[in-house]
Amino acid sequence: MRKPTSDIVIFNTLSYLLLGVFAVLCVVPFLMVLSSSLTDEQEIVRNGYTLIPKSLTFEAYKVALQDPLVILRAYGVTIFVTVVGTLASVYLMSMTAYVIHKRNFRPANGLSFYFFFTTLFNAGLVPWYILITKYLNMKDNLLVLIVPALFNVFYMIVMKAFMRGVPEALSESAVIDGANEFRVFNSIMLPVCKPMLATITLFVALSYWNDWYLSMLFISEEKLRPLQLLLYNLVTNSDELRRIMQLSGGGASVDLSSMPQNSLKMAVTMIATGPILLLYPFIQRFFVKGLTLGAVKG
Amino acid sequence: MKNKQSKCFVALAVVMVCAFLLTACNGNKDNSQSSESASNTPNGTSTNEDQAGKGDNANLKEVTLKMILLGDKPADADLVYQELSKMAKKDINANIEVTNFTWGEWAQKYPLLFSSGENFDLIYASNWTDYQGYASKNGFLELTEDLLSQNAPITWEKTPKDAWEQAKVNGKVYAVPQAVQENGAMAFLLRGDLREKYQIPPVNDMAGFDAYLTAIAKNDQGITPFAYQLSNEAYFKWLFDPNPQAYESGSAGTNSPPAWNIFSKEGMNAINHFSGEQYKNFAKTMFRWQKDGILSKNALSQKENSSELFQTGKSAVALSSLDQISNVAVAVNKAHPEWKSELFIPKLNFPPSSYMQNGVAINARSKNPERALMFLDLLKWNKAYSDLTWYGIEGKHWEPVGDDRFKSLADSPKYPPGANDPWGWRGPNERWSVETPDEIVKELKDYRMVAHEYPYGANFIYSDANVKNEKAAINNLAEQYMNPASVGLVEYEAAFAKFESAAKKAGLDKVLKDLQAQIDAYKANNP
Amino acid sequence: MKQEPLLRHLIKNRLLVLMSLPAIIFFLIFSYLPISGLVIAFKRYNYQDGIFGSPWAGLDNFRFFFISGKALLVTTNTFLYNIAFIIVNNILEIVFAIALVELTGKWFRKVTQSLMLLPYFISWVTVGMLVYGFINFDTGIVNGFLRTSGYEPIDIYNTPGYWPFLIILVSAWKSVGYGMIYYLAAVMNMDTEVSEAAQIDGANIFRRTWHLTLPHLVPTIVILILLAIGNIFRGDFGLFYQLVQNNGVLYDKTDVIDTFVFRSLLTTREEGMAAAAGFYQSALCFITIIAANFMVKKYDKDYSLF
Repeated sequence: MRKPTSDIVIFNTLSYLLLGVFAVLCVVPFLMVLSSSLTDEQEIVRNGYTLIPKSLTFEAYKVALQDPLVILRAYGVTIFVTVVGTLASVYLMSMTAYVIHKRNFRPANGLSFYFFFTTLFNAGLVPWYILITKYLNMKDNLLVLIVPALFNVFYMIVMKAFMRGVPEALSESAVIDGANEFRVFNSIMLPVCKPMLATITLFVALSYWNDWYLSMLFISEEKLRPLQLLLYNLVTNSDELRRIMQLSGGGASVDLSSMPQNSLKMAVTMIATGPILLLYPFIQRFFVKGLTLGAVKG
Repeated sequence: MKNKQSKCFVALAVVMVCAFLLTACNGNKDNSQSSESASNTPNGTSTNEDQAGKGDNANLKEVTLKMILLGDKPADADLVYQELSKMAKKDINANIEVTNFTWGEWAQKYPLLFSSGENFDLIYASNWTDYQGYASKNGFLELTEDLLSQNAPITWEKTPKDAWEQAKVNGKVYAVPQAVQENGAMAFLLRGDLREKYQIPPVNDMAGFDAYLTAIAKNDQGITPFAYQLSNEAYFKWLFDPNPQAYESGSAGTNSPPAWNIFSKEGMNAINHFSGEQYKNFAKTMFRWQKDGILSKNALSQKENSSELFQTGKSAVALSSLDQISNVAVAVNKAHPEWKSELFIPKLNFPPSSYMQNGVAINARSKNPERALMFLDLLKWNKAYSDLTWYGIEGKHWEPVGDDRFKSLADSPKYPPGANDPWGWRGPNERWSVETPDEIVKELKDYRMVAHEYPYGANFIYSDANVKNEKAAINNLAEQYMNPASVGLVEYEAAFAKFESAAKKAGLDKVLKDLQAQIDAYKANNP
Repeated sequence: MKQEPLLRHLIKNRLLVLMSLPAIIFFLIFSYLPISGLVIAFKRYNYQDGIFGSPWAGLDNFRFFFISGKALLVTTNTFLYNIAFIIVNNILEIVFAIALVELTGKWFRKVTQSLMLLPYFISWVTVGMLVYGFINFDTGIVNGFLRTSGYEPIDIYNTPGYWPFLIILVSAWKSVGYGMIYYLAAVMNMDTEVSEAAQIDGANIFRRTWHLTLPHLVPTIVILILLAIGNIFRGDFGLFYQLVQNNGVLYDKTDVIDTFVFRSLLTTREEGMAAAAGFYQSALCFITIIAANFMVKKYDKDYSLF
């Protein structure tokens, strides 16, 4: 092991410092959320959020989990949608990216524009909602949580750019060996792009896992409610309730004490986001340094 | 093969004949509904079978009515809905399905119901859920005299004329308003213990209130004397009107510039709310209060309202409507009896709240509007229906105490009283909890016994249809420039000058002129 | 040399055509079909007539935005904030990515990588609450710290001057851990042979970074920036709304098109007006990205979006 040169030492110090500070900034608020979920509600109300719970209590979790069936079902829905959606989405998107990355495929540029244009102009919620509910009749089923989010132009373009960075010699040697485009895509391109695929898989998985919008709009069947919708309802309803109670000037009389407590909100946040945090370390395995390029040289 | 075919034909023929027979037997009640057109005007030939809500269900075809309610669904709601459906099936041969929109999603889903032509029949409608907006865009079914008198006869007979007037949009009625007048009073809850500690005399009027606040600001650094939340509680500015018996109304609660005086025909003119005396006094006082430390410096950003802060000991005053202050009082007295909370009801000439603070509307695309109205009639006037939807299942969630009170039972949190959006059909059957202070119940209940006259102009409905753009722009400017003045962070003169010059450019005069024209038209029709 | 006819080219590459079909159909259905609903911006919409039956309103729905006198201000705010985000966030992401990859200390690397992603998971609503908990005047942590140290507390919520920095800071905090992952993958994908050779030749790490790593990252940087420019007139509603809320004092410095439109339409039921504002944003983004893409194409065809 070489003795570290001075520049490496400086570099390391700077890096540790920079990264360390930023990491702390990132984790502190998260710890506050965690600690609030374990703090007695009255404590929070009196003293605000703290880093370390003054009095440890699992009350919020007890309340959140009092109907474990609801949480379990929500987990089931979320996991199913995430796994199926991510696999389908990443595969389809990388296949499309493969097509438009090919420099000598004439429609490639036109297709890129065709895709990209959809991110520019957007008719808003109403037409899209009408399309999905009235014309496609996709309501209250798991498909509506998966399909509308299958393709994301942003990711496809990133994938295309990444693929363009892969030497053409790789695919060309396969074609010479008699493989068609589909085989080249599956057998050559996909394995080579592992880090990129890992990245996009992570992003897509997070996106499916965190989605509450699709389910809010299209799911009224309680058994099909994903985790994030539960969380969203919990976190936003007290704000809305306050506004409503005053606006309605006595019309809407709701018992204030029935509003969810801060600690409960934090507990549900932890329940809903905890598991996906485990995905990231898992994905990190695929971030392998400097691979593949030896394959051509020989 | 031919055999199979002919068998099919025979079967089809049999089915068709049966269908014909069935439809013929049910009378032509349901045939008056044409499915394509969105706005239904029923022909007057409905048969007499649908007289009252109850009985005679043999002649009614079985239907399913869908109702939309706002608010998170209580845990036991499904049980309640089952009961409700059973009762309605027996009485009017209608199954009831209810969909709840949570508070977080209703703002987006409510308009989508209409954009996407969803199939439902009844929906909660009120002033604060933009009843006028949806009505003017043909989301709701027009309720004609025929429709109402034939299908909801009790409602038609017992709802006061003023109520129908207040439910009119462009001269037509699009929803059934609540049938009782509510005391629109506002009330403050104060800390008796602090008052005694700092030797402040009891509060009976605004001067006393001011003294209370000032004393607390001076002596107690650990509590905000009055942490009012601008976005939801600014209506107490009515107290600063030079004439509390004839104060300015109209948009004042929502902090919007177009305003007009009620109470007298001569006094009713279009004014810029922010240039009026009421606002001037209010802003100047708020400026003083901010300086004296009575208001929170972060009043604009604060997320909780004064009632909540009062309960956590961070505000020495809770402001709310009289109706809701009772909830706060009950909670506080239970949790902190040592605070000795006291009620202060200012002597303003409170007109009753609008009848359209709560109501129920029928979807313009509803397939069974007549049946929906029959159901509504039951909800409003039949005590069994009212009790069920308001308080839950008797014996499980609550038990009656006399005719007008109830006691919550162990399961009550699974269906909290009055929490499942039943306010749309608020009627004379309402009950109060035994825990609510008697004085408050008396105020609220007695109020409903007498028919209170609305001040002149209370029925005036303002429509911004002609000046939508200008009003949107001006509202935005008002929020930016006048909100800080409303919490005393900026001095009134400076803020108003900025606002006025910007608003004038955005069309303030046009808005006021349009408002004046509407007022003049109103005056012509209402001598 | 004459190009072969298009049809022949497509048939020759029919597999590619087939492979792109799912995406083509998807966008046709979910994006291009609804785009026809854009006309709602030019109509006086009512529920009975629907989108296509409602009467025309010309440019009426656009007026509210421009007569307020704030149109230029919020447009500029949106644009400038997004530029700031692009610059700050990308620089941080690149620096962190390089630091992480070159760092010795596997354990530290893995941990910080995961930690930096955490803010992504906290919803803006919660972030708004946390920020309030930090900087509010009466009970905020920052002011508490100042008071106990003997300094005067600062009223951040009523001082617009702090807010551009605060917003940029919060935006970076929330998105850098996430956006950095692109650069991580890109740096990881670099050919180590060249950099090892350079190291043997005596180049220190800073020089290697400057001359080897950064140029390698250029395609990624260009693509990510171009994609960001495609949204340069769209503000992150969650960020701005949850942090600023109804605090009128701050609007001139912090208002973006999305929050401005949201507030204007709070009490006005007019779907056409919301669509009009969206159309305005889309048109501006369209012009910008076409120009940007064109310029990048001139430099190197490979880096452009289309």
